[in-house]
Amino acid sequence: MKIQYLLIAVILLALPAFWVTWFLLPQEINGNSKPDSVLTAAYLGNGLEEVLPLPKAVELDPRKVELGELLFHDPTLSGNGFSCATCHPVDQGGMDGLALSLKTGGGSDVMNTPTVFNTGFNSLLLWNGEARSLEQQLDGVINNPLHMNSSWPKVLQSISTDQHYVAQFQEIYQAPLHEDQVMNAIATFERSLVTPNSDFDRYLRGDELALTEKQKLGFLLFKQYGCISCHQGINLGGNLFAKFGIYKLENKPDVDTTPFHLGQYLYTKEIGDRYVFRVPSLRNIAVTAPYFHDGSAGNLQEAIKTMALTQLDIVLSEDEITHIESFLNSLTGEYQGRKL
Amino acid sequence: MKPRLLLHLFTGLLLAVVLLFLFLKSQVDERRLHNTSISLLSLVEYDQELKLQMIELKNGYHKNYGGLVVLQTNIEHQLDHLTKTNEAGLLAPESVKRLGNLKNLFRIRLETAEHFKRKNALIRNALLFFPKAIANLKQDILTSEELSPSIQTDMENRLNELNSMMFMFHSQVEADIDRVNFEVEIFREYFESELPLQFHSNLNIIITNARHILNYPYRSSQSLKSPGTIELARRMLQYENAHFLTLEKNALTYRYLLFAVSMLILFYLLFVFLKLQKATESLKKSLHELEFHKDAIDEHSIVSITDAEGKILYANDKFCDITQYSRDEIIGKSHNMINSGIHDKDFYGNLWKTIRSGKIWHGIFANQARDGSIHWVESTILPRLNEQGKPYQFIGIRTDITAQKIAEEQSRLLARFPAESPDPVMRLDREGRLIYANASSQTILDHWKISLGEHLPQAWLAISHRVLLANNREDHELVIDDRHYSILFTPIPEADYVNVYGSNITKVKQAERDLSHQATHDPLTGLKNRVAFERALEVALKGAQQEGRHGILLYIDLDQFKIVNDTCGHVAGDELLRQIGHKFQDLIRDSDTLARLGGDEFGIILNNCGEDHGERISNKILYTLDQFRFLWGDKSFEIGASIGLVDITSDSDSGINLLGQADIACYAAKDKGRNRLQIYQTDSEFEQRRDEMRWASLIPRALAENRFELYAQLIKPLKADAGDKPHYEMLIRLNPESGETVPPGAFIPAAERYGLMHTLDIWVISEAIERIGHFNAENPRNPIHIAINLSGATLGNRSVASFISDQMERSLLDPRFITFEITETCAISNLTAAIQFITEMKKLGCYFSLDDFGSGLSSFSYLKNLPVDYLKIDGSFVRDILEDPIDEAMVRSINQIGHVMNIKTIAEFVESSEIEDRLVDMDIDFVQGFGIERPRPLSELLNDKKRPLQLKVSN
Repeated sequence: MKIQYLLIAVILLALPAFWVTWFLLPQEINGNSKPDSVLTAAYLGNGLEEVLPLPKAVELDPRKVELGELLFHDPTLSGNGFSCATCHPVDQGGMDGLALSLKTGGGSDVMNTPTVFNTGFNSLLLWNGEARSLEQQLDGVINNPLHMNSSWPKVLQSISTDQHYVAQFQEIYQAPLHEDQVMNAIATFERSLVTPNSDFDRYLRGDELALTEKQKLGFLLFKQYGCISCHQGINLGGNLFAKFGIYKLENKPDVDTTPFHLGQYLYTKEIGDRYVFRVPSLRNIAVTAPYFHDGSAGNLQEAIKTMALTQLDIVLSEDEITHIESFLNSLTGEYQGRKL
Repeated sequence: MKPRLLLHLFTGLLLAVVLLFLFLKSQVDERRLHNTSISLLSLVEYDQELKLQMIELKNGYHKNYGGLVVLQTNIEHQLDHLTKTNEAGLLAPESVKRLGNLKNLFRIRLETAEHFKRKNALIRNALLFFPKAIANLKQDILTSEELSPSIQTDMENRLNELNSMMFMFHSQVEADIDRVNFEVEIFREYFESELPLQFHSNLNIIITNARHILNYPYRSSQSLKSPGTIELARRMLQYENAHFLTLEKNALTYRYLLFAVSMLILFYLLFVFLKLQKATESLKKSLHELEFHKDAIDEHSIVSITDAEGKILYANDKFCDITQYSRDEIIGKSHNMINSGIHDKDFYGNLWKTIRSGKIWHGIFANQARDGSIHWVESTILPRLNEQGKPYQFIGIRTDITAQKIAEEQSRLLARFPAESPDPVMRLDREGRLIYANASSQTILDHWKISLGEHLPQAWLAISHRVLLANNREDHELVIDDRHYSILFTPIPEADYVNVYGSNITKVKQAERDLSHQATHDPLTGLKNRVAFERALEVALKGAQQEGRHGILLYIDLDQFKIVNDTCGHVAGDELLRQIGHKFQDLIRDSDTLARLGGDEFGIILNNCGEDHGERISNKILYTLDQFRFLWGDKSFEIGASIGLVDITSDSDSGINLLGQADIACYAAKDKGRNRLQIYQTDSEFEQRRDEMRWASLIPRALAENRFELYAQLIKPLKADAGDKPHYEMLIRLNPESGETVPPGAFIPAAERYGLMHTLDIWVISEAIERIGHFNAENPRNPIHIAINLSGATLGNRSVASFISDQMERSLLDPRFITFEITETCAISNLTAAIQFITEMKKLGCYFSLDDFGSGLSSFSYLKNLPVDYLKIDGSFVRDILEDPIDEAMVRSINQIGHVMNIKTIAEFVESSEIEDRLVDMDIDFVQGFGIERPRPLSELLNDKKRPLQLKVSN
């Protein structure tokens, strides 16, 4: 009798011991499974073409897209009443249209807001390119007191009070709520923000009539002047760094008061990285004015003129500028079947 | 106990952890190696591809950075994966050391790639823009008016040359950069000197771009160099493989260990299981045994368990049975509920004190059942102690000893039984010593002069020894003074002692003596009775037969005793018998025997004498009686006796015969006129009497053989005008076996003497009533009246009246056709019965006739009491009426008295017509006799009576 009880006690005690020890073990690494990235050869091509059209659709988990869309528009995720969509309204070009971003407590930040459209195909994000993925960008923006002014614990707290979110997260991720899931959901939504069917893309796909002669001439100039050497790939940019002002700076900025103009240098502290910024994508460029990191170019002609001057040390003729501008206008695509 | 339990628990936990540890160590996930290897291999592959991509980009074969971006992303991903793997501790130790290095190298690689892109873009821009810039300058030159056409052409050629030189340079892998630099410097110097100043900006653009192009190969080849990433990754791969092999080797060892530990545990469990099973078995056995014990106790004893307060927790069936409470009624109740109240407070106090102190209590007490009945139990109460040694339960085991108690009480009372016995009770040991004597024995002990523990007197001692030896009871008598004692020696061999029961039998002895006197004496007269007399007669007969001593037997019958008895009552009769007994006693010797033989008969045996002495004594008796007057009240009676004498000789055959002979002689004396002696003689007269006695014995047989026959004799009315009807007296005759009719005188006396008259009467009544009833029914116009004789015996029988009426009813005979004849003596001796009978029958319509009037006591006073219709004057008066004037006067006066009393008279024995005439003169109403008509068979009469009717019919 005593021994029986002892055996039962031992087994009962051994079970939690097993359990605890099991969970102390190194967890199975989630293999080499690919992240939810669209930076794959399937979309980015083999590099043989200078530019290639946006895919008509991207393959993503629609549940994550749906959940991400909700979170993208949810102001409760921030500590200042902002939502992602505050600065990146998807119904007007994916950016706020301001020269400089808004910041917590009113006023302007030091940077122009880049569009959120097609960012999934960017290997570099933000003007400085310090974010190498949308997740990284999100991590930064949530914790940035000037932008979302929040933190992950706060965000998770906010989400866990909403039963719909909790249920959705549980259904999709089958695991306890984690910040990675929130980032993944929002990033997945952002990857779905693709604007296909621009005139240019249709032209690339073989529709010769999609571009006007003027635009075609603009595209030719775009190539002849070498713009395309940076503004290449699926997004016509967004995947490399370049010095803003190879020959000269338009307006020599006072880097002491606005160190931001130093670009990459702020991070690498290498002299060669001074004024080095990410090359922005030219997709939907016509609807995302103003331009440049500091929003200093109010319209396309101005921006084209500045680019020729700083990067090529030349002055384009009015005709050339107009032609290039008309080409850039053909880069505006559709989101959810609607032209931006 | 507790530390041991903890030890067990700790051991169990330790075992569990060890098992888990072994289990985890005993397997290596191949995927782990696979994952890491894939990562490392991928990195190598990506690195190589990266290089390839960059070369192709540099060459212009690839025109966008998408592929590079994909590789960059993939490398980042794999590095992340490796980092995570390392964080999970899944990397080989050698790899871990190098992981940081690997990451740094790849970081550099990626940065290089990034720089490559930047530079490549720049050079590509230069290359792309170069033709346009050349073309622009050409345009400047051609449109310039300052330059001569030859110079213009030369410049154009030079520009074309530069253009092609730059592209050639760019496409060359191993280019002579110094030469090209030199060429470009020559080109610049030439153009700066030759070209007008306004064209210098375009020239500068060309020069700048040319320099961009010239710078690039050097820079880019630097970028293409691998910083050792591939080597490091490959080395790490080797480490991983080696580590995996080590792990696998270890895992095998752990597997063996796991197996060994598991087997050990299995054996231990098996051992425990077997031990457990053994323990279970033994427990089961113990339980079974316990249950058996419990059953045994329950079967035998009353068991209850109470808590410390005496509240009943358990009670077995016997408890319920004896207390008559159901289990539900008593469980939870106080044990006090069955207290009998017999024991005092101290008793229970003592009990509780004992068991509360943890001791066992033994004792006997009485409990009360539900119906109030008391039962006694022998009880043992055991306290059940808790760990502190305090009792918390009590178990009571009791045995019902009520029966024992009762038996004890009974045996206690029983033990007093001999002591209380009024009879002496003693017990002797085997030596004959007195070991017990009750109080009643004192007289005997005094007589024997012994006391307890002493031997019995010698004679009695011998008896004691004898009975014990023979195992046989012996009864002895002891007489002390006038007291008789029965001393019964009863041996009890198994106990080896003798019980002696005395009883005072003085009274029994007395009674015995009294009884033997009563048996042989007549209580009335104090004389010997018939039994003693017959015994004495046998003695006398034996004396005569064997010794020749002759004797005389006298049979005496008093003549007038019946009258005394009838007129003065039995008391008078008894007194008479006593007085006469005394008188007889005085007349005989002591050696003679006098006995009353019954009724008024006495017998005397005279020993050693002859007939003459017998005669003398007889005459003395007759004389004495002659002198004797019995006085009763104012009445005086003369008493006579008839005596029969028989010699007791050697010829006499038996006492019974002698008595019979004496009886016959006595009757003969009576017949001869009473008050006389008759010596028995073996002549014809006595023979005839003896025949009659034989008749008597034959009567029942004759009845059975239907040999009796009814005769009828006419009783003729002398005054036909008076309405007197002729009737016929029914007479009985016996047809003997020989064929001749036997006269009634032959058997009627015998029947009377031997009590057969009643039977005969019944036969006559039923026969006569049936036949006459039948006849009268057939001849209603000519009915026959009959007269039937009734004897005294019949009159005294109460059932006769109803018998007669039944018979008449059945035969439809009108009672008015019947007259019953009763003799005067018979009527008087049964006066009350007679009157009752007569009254009863007269109610039915029967008539009565008083028979033989004048022959007996002839008291007219009786006549007044007897409501008869006819007087039948005794024939002895009628017979001699012609010669004897007294008889004539008697008849006349009887007739007159009869008439006065309104009773018809009948004269019998009318043997001649002369007598009839005289009787007519005397005014007698009826006559009967041979002179009138002889008796004839009834059937004959009936036939005659029928005939005239039949004739009439025939006429």
